[in-house]
Amino acid sequence: MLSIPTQKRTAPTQLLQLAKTEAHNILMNTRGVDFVMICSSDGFELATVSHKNYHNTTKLAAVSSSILAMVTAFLKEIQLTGCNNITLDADNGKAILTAIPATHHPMVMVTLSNKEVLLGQLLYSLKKASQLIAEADGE
Amino acid sequence: MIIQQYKIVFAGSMGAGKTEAIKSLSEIPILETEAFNTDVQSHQKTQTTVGIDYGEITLDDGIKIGLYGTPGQSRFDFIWSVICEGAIGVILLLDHNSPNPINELESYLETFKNYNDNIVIGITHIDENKESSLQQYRHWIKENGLSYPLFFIDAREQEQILMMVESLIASLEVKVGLTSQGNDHA
Repeated sequence: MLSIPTQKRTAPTQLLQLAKTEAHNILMNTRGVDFVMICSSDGFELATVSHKNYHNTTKLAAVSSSILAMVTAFLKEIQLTGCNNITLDADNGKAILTAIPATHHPMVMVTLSNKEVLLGQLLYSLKKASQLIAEADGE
Repeated sequence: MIIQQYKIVFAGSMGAGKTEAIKSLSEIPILETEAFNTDVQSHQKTQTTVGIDYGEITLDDGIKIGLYGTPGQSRFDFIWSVICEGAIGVILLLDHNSPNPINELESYLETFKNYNDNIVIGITHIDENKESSLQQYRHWIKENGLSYPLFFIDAREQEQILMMVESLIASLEVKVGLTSQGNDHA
C-alpha cells in the first residue's frame, strides 16, 4: 500500500496521513477522549487532533517520548519485552502513551481523556490503530 | 543497608559522545533510552538518547559512582535539572565538529551551572575537524574569567573519561576544602 524508502528518516506524508486518520477516528469514536497526538519516538510532534487545546504540544511530545523510552528501559531490566502502552491514571483524567512499533518510523501516540472514558474500549482502539500504522510502515 | 553512592552527570550537545562515554566507563551493562533519530539536520547518527542513560563505576577507594547521561537536545531540557539533582558534578561534552561549538559551550554552561557549578569540559571529535582551532576553547574560558578544567578527549577511550571523572572529584575536593577553611576562619 505505502512505499517508504528505508533511508528516509522522517515519516512520509502517506504514513502520517494514515496515522492522523487513525488518531481522528479514536477521538471521534471514543467518548471521553479529548486529545490524540502522534509524535516521533525521538520527541517531535507529527500530527494532533483534539477537542480541547493543550498548550505546548511540542514539549508534550518530547516528554512523552522520554517517558516511553525510560519505562521501556525499566521493563527490559526486569526481563519484560517491549512496552506497548503506559496508562497514567490521575484524579481528573487519564493519559495513555502507546508505542507504534513501525519498523522504519517508530512513533508514539499520546491520548488524553477524561476520567469517565471506557478504558477497555480505548486501549483496544489504540492497539488496533498502532498495529495498522506499524503494518503500513512495513509495506 | 546504606549504600554510599555518588552521582555524576554527562551533559552536552547531541552527538558529542555522552552515551559512548558512559558505555566506555561503566562496569555494568548500561541502561539506555535511545530512539530513532529523525532530526538529521542536527546530527546524522541513527539513534539518540531521549531519556536517562545509566551506568556505574567503582573507584579504587571503593566509592561507587552512578553515571547519568542526559539527552542533548533542548526539547528535553525538562529532564536536565531532574538528573542533576544531588550530583557531585557535571561532565560537559561538546562536539568540536559542530558548526558553532563555542556558542554551544556558552549555552550549556549557562544552563548547567545553575544546576551544579562543579563542571569539567570535554571537547570530542577533534580528529574530524582539524581546521578549527582547539585554542578557541581555552581563549573563550580565559576571556570570560572562568576556570573550568578543559580536556580534549575521545569518548570511546575509558582512560580519558576516567581522567575527567577524577578531575571532577578533585575539583570538588578543592571546593569543599576551601569552604571548610573559610568556615574555620569565620
